[in-house]
Amino acid sequence: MIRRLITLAGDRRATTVHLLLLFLGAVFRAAATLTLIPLLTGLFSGEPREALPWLGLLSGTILVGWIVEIRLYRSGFDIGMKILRTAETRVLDRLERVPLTWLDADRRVEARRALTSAGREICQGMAYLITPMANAFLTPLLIGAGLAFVAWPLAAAALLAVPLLLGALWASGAFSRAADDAYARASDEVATRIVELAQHQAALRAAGRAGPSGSALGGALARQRRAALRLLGFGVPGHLLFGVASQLTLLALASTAAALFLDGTLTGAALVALIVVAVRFLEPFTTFGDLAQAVSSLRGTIDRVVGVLDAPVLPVDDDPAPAVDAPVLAFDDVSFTYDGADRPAVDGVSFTVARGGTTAIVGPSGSGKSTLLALAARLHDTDAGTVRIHGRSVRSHDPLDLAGHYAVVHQNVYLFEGTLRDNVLLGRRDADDDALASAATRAGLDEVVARLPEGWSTRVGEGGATLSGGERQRVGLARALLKDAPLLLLDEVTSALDTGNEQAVVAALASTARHRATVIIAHRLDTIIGADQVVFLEGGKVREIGAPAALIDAGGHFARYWAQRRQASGWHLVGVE
Amino acid sequence: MARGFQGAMLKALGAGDHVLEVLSVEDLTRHYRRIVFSAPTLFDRPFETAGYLRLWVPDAAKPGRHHQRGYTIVAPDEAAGTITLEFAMHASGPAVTWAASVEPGERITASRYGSTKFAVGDPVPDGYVLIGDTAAIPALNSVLAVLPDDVPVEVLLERSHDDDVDIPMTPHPGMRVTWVPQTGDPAALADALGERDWSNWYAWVTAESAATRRVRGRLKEFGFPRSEIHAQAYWMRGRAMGTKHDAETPAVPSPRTEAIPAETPKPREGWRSRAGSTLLAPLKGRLILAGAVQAVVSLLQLAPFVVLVELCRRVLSGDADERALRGLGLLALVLFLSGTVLALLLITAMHVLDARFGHEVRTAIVAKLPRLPLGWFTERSSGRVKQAVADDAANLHYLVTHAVLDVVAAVVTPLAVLGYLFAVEPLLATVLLIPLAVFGILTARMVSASSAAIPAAVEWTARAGSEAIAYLDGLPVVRAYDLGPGGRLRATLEKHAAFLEGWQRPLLGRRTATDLVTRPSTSLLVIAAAGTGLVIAGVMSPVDLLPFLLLGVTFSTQLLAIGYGLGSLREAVAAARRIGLVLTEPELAAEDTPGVLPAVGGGRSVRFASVSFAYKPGHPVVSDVDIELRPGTVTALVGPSGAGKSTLAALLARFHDVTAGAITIDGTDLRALSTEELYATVGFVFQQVSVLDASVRDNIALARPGATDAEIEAAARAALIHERVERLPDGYDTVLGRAARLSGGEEQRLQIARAILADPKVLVLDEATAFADPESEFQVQRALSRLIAGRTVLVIAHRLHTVTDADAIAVLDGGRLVQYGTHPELVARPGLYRELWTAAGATREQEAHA
Ligand SMILES: Cc1cc2nc3c(=O)[nH]c(=O)nc-3n(C[C@H](O)[C@H](O)[C@H](O)COP(=O)(O)OP(=O)(O)OC[C@H]3O[C@@H](n4cnc5c(N)ncnc54)[C@H](O)[C@@H]3O)c2cc1C
Repeated sequence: MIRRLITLAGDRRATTVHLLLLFLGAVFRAAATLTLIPLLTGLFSGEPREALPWLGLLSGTILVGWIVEIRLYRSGFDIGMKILRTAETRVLDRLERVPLTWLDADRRVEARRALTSAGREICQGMAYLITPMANAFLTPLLIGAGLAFVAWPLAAAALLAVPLLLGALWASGAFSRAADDAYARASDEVATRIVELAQHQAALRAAGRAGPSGSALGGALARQRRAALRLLGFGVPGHLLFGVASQLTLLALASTAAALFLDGTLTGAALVALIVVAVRFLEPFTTFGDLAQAVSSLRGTIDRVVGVLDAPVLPVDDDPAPAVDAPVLAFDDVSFTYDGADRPAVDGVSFTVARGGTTAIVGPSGSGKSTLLALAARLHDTDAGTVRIHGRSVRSHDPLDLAGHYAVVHQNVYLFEGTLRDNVLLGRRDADDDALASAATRAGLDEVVARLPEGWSTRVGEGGATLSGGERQRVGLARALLKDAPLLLLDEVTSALDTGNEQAVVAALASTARHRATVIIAHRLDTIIGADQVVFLEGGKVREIGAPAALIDAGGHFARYWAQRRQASGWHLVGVE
Repeated sequence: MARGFQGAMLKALGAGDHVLEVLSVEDLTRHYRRIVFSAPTLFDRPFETAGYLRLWVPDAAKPGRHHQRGYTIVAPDEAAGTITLEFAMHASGPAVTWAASVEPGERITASRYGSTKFAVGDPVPDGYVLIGDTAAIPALNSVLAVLPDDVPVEVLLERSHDDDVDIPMTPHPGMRVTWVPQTGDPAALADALGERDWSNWYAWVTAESAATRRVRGRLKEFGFPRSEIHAQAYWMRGRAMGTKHDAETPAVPSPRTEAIPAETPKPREGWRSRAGSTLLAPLKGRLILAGAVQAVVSLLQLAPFVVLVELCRRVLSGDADERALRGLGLLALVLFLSGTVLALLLITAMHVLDARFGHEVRTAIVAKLPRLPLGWFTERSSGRVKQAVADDAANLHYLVTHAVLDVVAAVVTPLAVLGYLFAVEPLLATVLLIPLAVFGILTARMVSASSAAIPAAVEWTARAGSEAIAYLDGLPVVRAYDLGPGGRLRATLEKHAAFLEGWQRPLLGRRTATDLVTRPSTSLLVIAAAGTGLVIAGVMSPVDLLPFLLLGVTFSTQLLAIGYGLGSLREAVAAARRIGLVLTEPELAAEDTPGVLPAVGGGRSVRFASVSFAYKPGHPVVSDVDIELRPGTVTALVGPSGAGKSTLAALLARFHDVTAGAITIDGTDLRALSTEELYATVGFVFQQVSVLDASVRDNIALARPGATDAEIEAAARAALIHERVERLPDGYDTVLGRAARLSGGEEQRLQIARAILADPKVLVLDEATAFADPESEFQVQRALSRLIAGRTVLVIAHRLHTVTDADAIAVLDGGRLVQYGTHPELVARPGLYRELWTAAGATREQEAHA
């Protein structure tokens, strides 16, 4: 763990100094404790004044120890802050280049925590965990070693006790963890069942099965209860083990000292002093017990950051200079399979989109339409074949430079918490008000802005929650138009409720489409028919490709799809046996 | 600048100065002035609701003197770097004097320190009562702006001038404003508050000091728990806010008038914020007992040390033979063993108690779910159930098995040690308290220094968190628009780090000091130094030093551990409250002797008789609707969005109970039917599909677990899903969710198959279902057509042309039934339907051309 922290901090000198200070701190502590022996012997000798020089020594060690500690705090803070800043930047650097498939739901949570809380936790850990832990480990060892100068059997007993106590601590921690895990497992099952019961309440009630009886829940509840009782097996030793071990150690040390006293090796005063030292010797261990949990969570935090920093990145290849009049976007025999899927999502797809052209990607759900868009933006890498933008493989573009080539509007437009203006300006940060207004008009956003009481300054809420789906998409569109990239990737809203003047937007798009290439996952019939080219997908393969009218005339897959959609749009609700 | 002690304090506490420049001055009324300032430096940290500035207003009489006055920040505009302050122009005082004569271009300094900590509660309170006077209007406006639209808000204001009522207030749909004239009687506001069922309301009180106190007293009488009242005096009658002016003017008592009228006092439901203690009540006695036993255990664990001291005493006094030593050793062992055994028994008992209690809680939640209205189960509520049964249950488990014992141990051990040490040598014991006292002072100073920034820190954390979520969720967008060094999240994280550093670095020294004074080595030094002195001075015998060296050294550390224990205890109590909240949600009314519907062959008839419904009292969503659905007919609900279509339809599926009127099926009230009977009769097909983690077969046969394979397949064929199921890896045995996923349209057809098999006589349907998945709407539509044949159908229609063939169309507007008839009848008449139909025409035209 310490090693990983050092790598994260990246400053070898500072960390070495820190480790040295840690060791020095422990030396002074141990020295102070050991000084008690002559001090107390002196006090109990009947001539207490003899103790005074030792008291001076004790004060000296403790005071110097303080100075070391103060330096230690400062250096810990510096290192922590450094880790905080660099870790966050490096995590972001990495995230900008990972394949999107890597970032599944679990990793997303990890990445979020690595971004927002990890730095702070590490920073605090430096001050409140690493130092006390190092001290707790080193000080008893040093005291034990020091005892050898007084009475070796005592030193032997103390040094023997160290692994024993650590073992007890470890076992006690392991038992508690096992208990917690067992409890969590048992409760998770019930929790999942109960949540399921809540989520499917409507369906279950309609089925007359909403109650606990009849579902799997009764059994799970009973199992949970039994599991909670079984925790005793772990919980009790977890709770008692370390206490028992340390009390036993104390007894052992005291009786060793007593035995030495009885056979005359030690004076009474020395015996008493040694008993005091023995108690002091045990004290740091409790720190271990108190901090164990925090340390393991710090370890988790560090692993989390390192996990993101070690994530795979999309490599950047060399690609020879492109042909002069290459199409804006070209798919060349592209295949892609998601991890764990049994068949490819995109299978041998080839097509090209020229400047000024609009290509509609059409097909049933699950046919790979969105995957095509993701591959064009290089959110994943293809397994075979090449995606080219302006004749150059997307793999040869640096991510920053690739982003300059395309603008994208997703079906669920993601908006950032901030104002409407901020969100559109993402398209081009330095755009002036005219450019902003013009993009808004073309995207049909102007009327939304006019309708909202705060206009452009309206805060869109987390994820754009204060806007409707259609409104969000217009924001996305305005952003994309403002960016004015040569390639526009568009996923049309499917929500049937957002008809209205969506057509106007489509028309506006078409009128400005001449100087760019547009690829649109099209659901609306008029979008499809208005495209220059239809790529009809099924099961990840291109079934048909061509101008929509020609395809309809040809009477193939697309024509059938077209006819069904036409029929569906004129559907009337009447019962048919 | 002379600002006296307060100024120095504020500075010491880290409230930096900001310079505000007046941009414009505007009088909203004769006694209410709005001043806009340029204040770019204020935007270094986020603003909270009703956050305020401490203005340093110059004293007109004594040049160079400044007074500190609180003013609420209004309309901060980050882009422009401006804020607004609004001044109630009362008779006299430095602040109003300054505001009365100020010109654009003038400057004033201000500090930002202190927090209102206002946040909308979760769950949202049943209502808000906001109380204050003219000076509080800016703050109330800020609060009103963040309140959810659907909560009732009572605003009670004291006006000092008649035109105060013209001061603009933030509009809120549920707001009722009551003005009372200012008479000088501090009880006026309190008296204006009528008694009624205020359960689960939240009160915000920022008025004159004495008035605020009175109002708070009155609210307590009404049962407001302390946590549900925010009370802060904004000014003090007869006194300047900082320094004393003159004596209190005698108040003129006014007759008691209740301006917020008492409403028919309903029985008190009890406050939700007390739900936690109710849940824990049955455990209370046993937890106290456990605490007592733990106290004994803790004492027993100290005993061996006392024996050790005794042993040392004998050794030093020279009367220690081997037998005596052995005897003492044995005694220590016995004490230690009995402590351990007792601890063992205690933990065992706690685990048994926990297992039983946890089981009861979970069973109670499970039993609660079927009794809640279906409408309760939104995504958010499901989140609450999840929180209650997962994290909160774990917290309760910790509370019962460990927290109580830990806290008791943490308290008893140091106290017992302290008592013992005092008994041995009071003087040295007192000295031992010195580091603790130093610690106390240092901590208090540090807390006050750092707490100024705590609200900002909370805001920062929240902001960084939500931006990080947005970043990760929107990574495809980020890649297209927001990469590299200029990225938004980067900037936020950078600023966050700078904030943390700027906040914590100055505290570093004090933090180190607080930590060092409680170190065992510090205590050791104190004991050794003072002890040696006392021994040399002959005040104390050297032996008496031993208890201190054995037990006193770690005393400070132990005492501090109490804090940690209490923290987790609080956490657990909050968890108990959340669980309690779920358990006290209002339930659907249950009939003791459920009615049974007579058997019939075809569809059933349904009547909505004067049906009204409101989610919140006073906000009807459906009002007085009368509709009859004849057996076997299709009735469509149409109307603009928000007209109450979906709500009305959901009432037939008993997602909620009607607030007035009744819905009957063949003459029997819905509420009189058992759940089984009801849902065997009424089925529904909505856009949201529940797919259970179970096989396709079980999913289809949900309502009829006994259905044969042939019946299931027939239903699947009718719903046009059979072929798709056949293509799944294990056909009808494929477990959905994990191994195989269905597309949106396929899930819809699964749902339709389920409904076909269940064969309800009455069906509630959302027309959007038919168009939810454009790529397979054709199949879904055909399946729907088969499903509705021969049933009594109520359909929520969004697209008029889909329902032109319906047997009846009910047109809703604003929750009321405005038109009723068939399509040809309705288009023939002027009215809402014809308007909607014409408006939809344009869309249809274009689609027809496509
Ligand atoms: C957190 C906070 C936020 C506030 N926000 C605002 C705000 O946005 N707008 C605003 O106008 N005020 C606000 N106030 C109230 C304002 O700070 C006080 O009214 C302040 O006392 C005015 O200062 P002064 O120098 O004018 O009068 P002072 O020197 O304080 O008092 C002079 C005399 O005037 C009387 N007096 C003081 N205030 C009033 C009053 N409001 N009505 C009648 N008599 C009064 C006093 O009793 C005294 O006799 C806020 C107060 C706090 C604590």
